[in-house]
Amino acid sequence: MLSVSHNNNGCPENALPENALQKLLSSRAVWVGSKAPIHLSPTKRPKTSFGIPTIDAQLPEQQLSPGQIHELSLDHPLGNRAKGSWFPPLFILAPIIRNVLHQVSGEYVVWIGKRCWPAPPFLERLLLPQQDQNLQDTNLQDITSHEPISHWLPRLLFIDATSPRQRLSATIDSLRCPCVAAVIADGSSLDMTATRRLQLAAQRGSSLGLLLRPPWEIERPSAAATRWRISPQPSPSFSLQWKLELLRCKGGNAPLIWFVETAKNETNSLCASSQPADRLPESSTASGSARNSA
Amino acid sequence: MVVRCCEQARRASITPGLTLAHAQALCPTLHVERFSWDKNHKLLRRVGEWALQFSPLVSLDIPEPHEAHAEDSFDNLQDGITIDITGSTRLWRGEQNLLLRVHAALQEAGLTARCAIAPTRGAAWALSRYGIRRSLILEENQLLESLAPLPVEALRIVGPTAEALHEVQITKLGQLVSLPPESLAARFGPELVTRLQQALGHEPEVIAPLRTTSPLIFRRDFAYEVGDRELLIGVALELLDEALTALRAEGRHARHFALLLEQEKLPAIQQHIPLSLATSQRKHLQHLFRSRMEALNIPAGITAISLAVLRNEATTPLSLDIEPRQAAPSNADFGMLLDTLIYTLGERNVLGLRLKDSHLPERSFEYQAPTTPTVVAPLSPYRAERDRPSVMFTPPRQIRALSLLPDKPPYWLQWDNRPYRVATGLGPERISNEWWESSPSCSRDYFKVQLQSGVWLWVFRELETSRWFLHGLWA
Repeated sequence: MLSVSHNNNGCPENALPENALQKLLSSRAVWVGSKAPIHLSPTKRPKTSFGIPTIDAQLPEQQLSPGQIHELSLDHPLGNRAKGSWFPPLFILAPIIRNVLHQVSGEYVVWIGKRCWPAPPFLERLLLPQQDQNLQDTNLQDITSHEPISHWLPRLLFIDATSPRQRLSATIDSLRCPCVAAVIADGSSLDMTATRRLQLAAQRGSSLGLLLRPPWEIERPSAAATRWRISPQPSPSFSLQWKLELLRCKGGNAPLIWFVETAKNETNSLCASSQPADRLPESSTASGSARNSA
Repeated sequence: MVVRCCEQARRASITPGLTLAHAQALCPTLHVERFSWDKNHKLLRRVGEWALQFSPLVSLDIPEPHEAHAEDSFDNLQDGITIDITGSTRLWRGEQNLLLRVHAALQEAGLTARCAIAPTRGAAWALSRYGIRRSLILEENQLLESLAPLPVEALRIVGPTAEALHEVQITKLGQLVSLPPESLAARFGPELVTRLQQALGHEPEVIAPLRTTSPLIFRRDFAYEVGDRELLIGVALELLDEALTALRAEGRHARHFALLLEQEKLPAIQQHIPLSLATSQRKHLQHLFRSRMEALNIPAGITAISLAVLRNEATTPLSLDIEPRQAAPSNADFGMLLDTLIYTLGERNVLGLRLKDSHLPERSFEYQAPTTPTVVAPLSPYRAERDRPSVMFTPPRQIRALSLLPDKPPYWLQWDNRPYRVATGLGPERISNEWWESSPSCSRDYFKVQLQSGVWLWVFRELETSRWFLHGLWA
């Protein structure tokens, strides 16, 4: 509350308010506020959560927050470090990409690095509207109408670069563009300064940055907000099972381990899975690990 | 005063000539806009440019904006285009089909149109304004009987002549035809007779075809040879400013620039600057121009610079396409991103996706330039239901596998000289290429197998050669 009182009768009108404000500022009764931050408020952005409540509860903002870089790596038995071959953890990202595409209209998803391009038949399945019930019912019309696919396909961009430096500059340019909702990039051989630049670009464009790295690079220092390691698990049934490890999380608990598997009705969605009793439990650190049982 | 009104307004009995207050009293929820000849002409011009796909001879039936009089604006039957379809009917499989197509396409674009096809221009004009909604005359001898019931104004005659005809109770064209032409010319003027003869086909009539705009070219000549790169960049940016102001005056965006640097005794240096999306953002274009010119090799002195705008697009493209098209990305920011990426990485490394109708997984898609407008191909509704891996190998990697029976999943695999035991398998799924393909037929039995380490692979057995391949994995 600013109250101006007349102390001197001879003082001119227009000089009085300024002096009063200065006095209040210097006496710390009034502070000057700062401008709003550049990026949009989180409520305007799509919900990029995994869709699995036990995982989302542990993440800050209950999702893989946009405006940040998240690193993921797949510990695949068929990868070969000597030959430099590794695989991108695209299956786990399926629900997040689908959320981004379904919830926001007019925004783009950019895939950088040929190794990280998804197989288009897999992408087609993602682009279908999400069916929770059995497909044979009334939802058959949605499948036969191709309008969704023709609406979403132009919003996907695939970029290949020849050198890591070009890849880095392409990723920074895409993250900075305000109309790009998510960038999935090949993040191999990136050091701390590179990831810090990527983090700044993601904050500026408020886009979700997902860096896919080979498994031998996930422990290196990096400026990413969350870092994950995913490994495939043998499953007795026909559903795919994965182990998700949250190695580092800014503003959350880490390290944490979850087991997920594909949901029963095969819509590429994941749900929490129980750990079989015959398998040995994973080693936990002193800060504690979370394991969910059915 | 009401000058033009739409179908719904007409149903509420609002016609041109009423005052605005009267019209608003008849329909309170009326949407009113100021009529301007310029805008009207521009819209009709765009419709005319669209109609160029049917025939190269299209003409606009309204006077130029600077020639229009105030009285003309009341006559909204004047607005229209004439397309000379001589010889192009075969392409469209008959006049009837063409008529229906044009009418449907215009309706989809939101324009109410009346179409007519006739052997002469005068008859077509008359029928489209005063005949039924979609009229078609094919033979010359049908002309007379189709034109007879139309009113006299259908001959494109001016107001005083029409009034004079009405005074002597001549209201229909049929009555005019029966009168001797000399007395008509003496009483009402020769123009009436000319129009009548043109409509009946006894006299020829030429139409003035629409000309598309010539490309904008801006040029600077130097008094001496210039070798300084900075100076050349500055001049090019000035030309860019001029081009942008000219385009903005027309309400269009640039899509493709070409810079020409002329040299003495040497061929001119050409630099093409294509843009992914039509844009008029000055800063972005200046940055693009600067980077392109700095990368240019300028050996000797330059005597002149000229900038041509080779392609430009309207601000909001009027989509009057006949076939359904995939919507191209239209965001200006995205266009800037595409331009930067294409410039740094090359055109072949920035791609969009197109789905094709093929059973074979590796042929069911194609990567192409991101802003190509593609026609939506009819795809099988069940193709997205199949379980497909997230990583696919092109070409499929050859492996060795053993299975108990031909149509059972393999129990043992060897890839990259390493053996793996299979825990579970799903399949087979038979995929073969289409029967009409002339290339040798290939049929494959696909299996989804899980190794003991938990990895799921997509393998197939080629039926003709019984070789096993690894096509993808679920990563």
